[in-house]
Amino acid sequence: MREIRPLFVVGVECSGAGLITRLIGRWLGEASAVVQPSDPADYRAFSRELIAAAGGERWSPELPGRLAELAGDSDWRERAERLAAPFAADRPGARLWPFPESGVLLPFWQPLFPGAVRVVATRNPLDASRSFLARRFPEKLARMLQFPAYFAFRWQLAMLELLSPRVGWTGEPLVVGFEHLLRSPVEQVRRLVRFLEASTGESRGDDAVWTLLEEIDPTRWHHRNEHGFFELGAVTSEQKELCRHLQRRAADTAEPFDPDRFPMPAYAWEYLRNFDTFAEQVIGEAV
Amino acid sequence: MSRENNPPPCRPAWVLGIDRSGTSLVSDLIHRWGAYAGEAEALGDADDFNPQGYFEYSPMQKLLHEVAVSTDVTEWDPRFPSLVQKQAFNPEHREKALALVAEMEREGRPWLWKEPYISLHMPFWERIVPPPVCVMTVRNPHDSARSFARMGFGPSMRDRLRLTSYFSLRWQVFMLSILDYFERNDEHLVVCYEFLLRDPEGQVRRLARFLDRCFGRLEGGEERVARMVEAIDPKLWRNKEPSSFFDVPEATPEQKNLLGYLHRRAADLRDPFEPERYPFPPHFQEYLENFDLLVGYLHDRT
Repeated sequence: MREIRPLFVVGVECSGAGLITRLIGRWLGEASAVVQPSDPADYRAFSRELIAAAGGERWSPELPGRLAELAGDSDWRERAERLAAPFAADRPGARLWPFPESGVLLPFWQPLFPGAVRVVATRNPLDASRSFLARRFPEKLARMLQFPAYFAFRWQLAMLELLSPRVGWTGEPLVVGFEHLLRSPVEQVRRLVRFLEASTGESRGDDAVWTLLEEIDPTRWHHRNEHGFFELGAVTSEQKELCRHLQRRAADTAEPFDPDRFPMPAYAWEYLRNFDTFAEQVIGEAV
Repeated sequence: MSRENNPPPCRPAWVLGIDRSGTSLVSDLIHRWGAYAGEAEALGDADDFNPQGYFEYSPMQKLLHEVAVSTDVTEWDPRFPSLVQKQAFNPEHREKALALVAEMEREGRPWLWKEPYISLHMPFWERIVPPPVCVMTVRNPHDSARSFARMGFGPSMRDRLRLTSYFSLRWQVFMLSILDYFERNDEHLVVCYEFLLRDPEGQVRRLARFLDRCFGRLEGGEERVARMVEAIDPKLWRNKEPSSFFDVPEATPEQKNLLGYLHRRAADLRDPFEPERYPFPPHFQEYLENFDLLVGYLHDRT
């Protein structure tokens, strides 16, 4: 499994990961290079079992450590390798796995793919929260709920997981901002292509940039309120600082990620857990 | 002549505090001291959660609900105190409030109201009635949260929900609202539930002395104390969490400081109240509102 070069596109929901996946898929140029798990339903069931085995709490400060332990367990590892078998099949080279979790399960998968190339999708969390709300909740409830704080905790946790220096990862991830991509598509697509070329050693030539640009449709920039996040009273100053950090990274400023600057408050876990417990009752599945 | 020397016979005593913090027990004590709580059929039946009764006067609860709805915001909205105060000038609410008070005064003796949400409505009542004598209850919010979960949710939800942070935020709103009101009304006493259960006689004497002084009662003190002490059943001290609130990570340092401050007030130490020492965490309003909204949504759906 280590002969191939997997590409993970990761990010919190409604942050542009789908768009970036399509862009990278076009760059790879072959449908076979975009790999789904053998069976998405199997993958979801596996994820649920994994969380249950790690203590049953999706939102727990102990989850990453427990997942990392499970990654060292031969039974779990074998099951994971079977699930990810399409990665290893057919041919070496870059392969894209549109990672179906927002980073929560990455501590389990990371040891299996230490050389994975990571592209982190980011978006203003307030806008992403509005998209998420509209997409996941019944219309009546979506009109009544206000949840930038909930989503900001979810986003913060994912970013901490995706960007924290972790033993075993090789190379830095590329941070791609949804707003940057829609505002300066040519510049950002060139940046993405440069990163992919450098990371995989594969080149598609200049024409690839123009092919990728066909994927970008600025009219799909919904729920746009880029600056509102910084004026919100419901989010922490650390979250605002994290958002600024990501904006700088998305603008190609080299800046090390120091997770200690963006601590999750201890009370956040309860809100995440309780909200999800209620939401699951409302929409009939996990959010 | 000052009011202390010649208090009107039918002044009110109100019990302020959050749910599951001993408000019913303290109401029972004040009732046994001699306050009129309303006709029995309007006070709600005792049950397993409150074996000695709720002492919640339902016509007053109905009015509080109407007033709260008129504000168009939730109790967790920082604008609630000023909006609820404005409702005192709504003729319909004012008339109903005065009629309720008149009904209680008809007995011609001290009378009692208890309802947790009245703690958040004091800006309304301040514009309607002269200051009542107030008794505030304080209990470890960690234990109150456990009791609240037992009372409010079935076993399956109770197992899945964690309420320490939710309840601590709610508790913080209640406590700060009451303490803010006490800055304008000196006739108040803070009673700690744990102190009461640990030292029933000492705490009951303290409460009785306070009530006797406020209502100008000079005779029969010992009989009243004896009647009151009988109400305290140590078996009522349930839902004790094994961990201390001061060690709970979900509670903020400001909430822990607030509990410490309230314990000092309950021990008759009157440090100045500085609300800026107890700020809310940024997400508090959203969490409280979403929690209530989702509980209500699920309740309506079923």
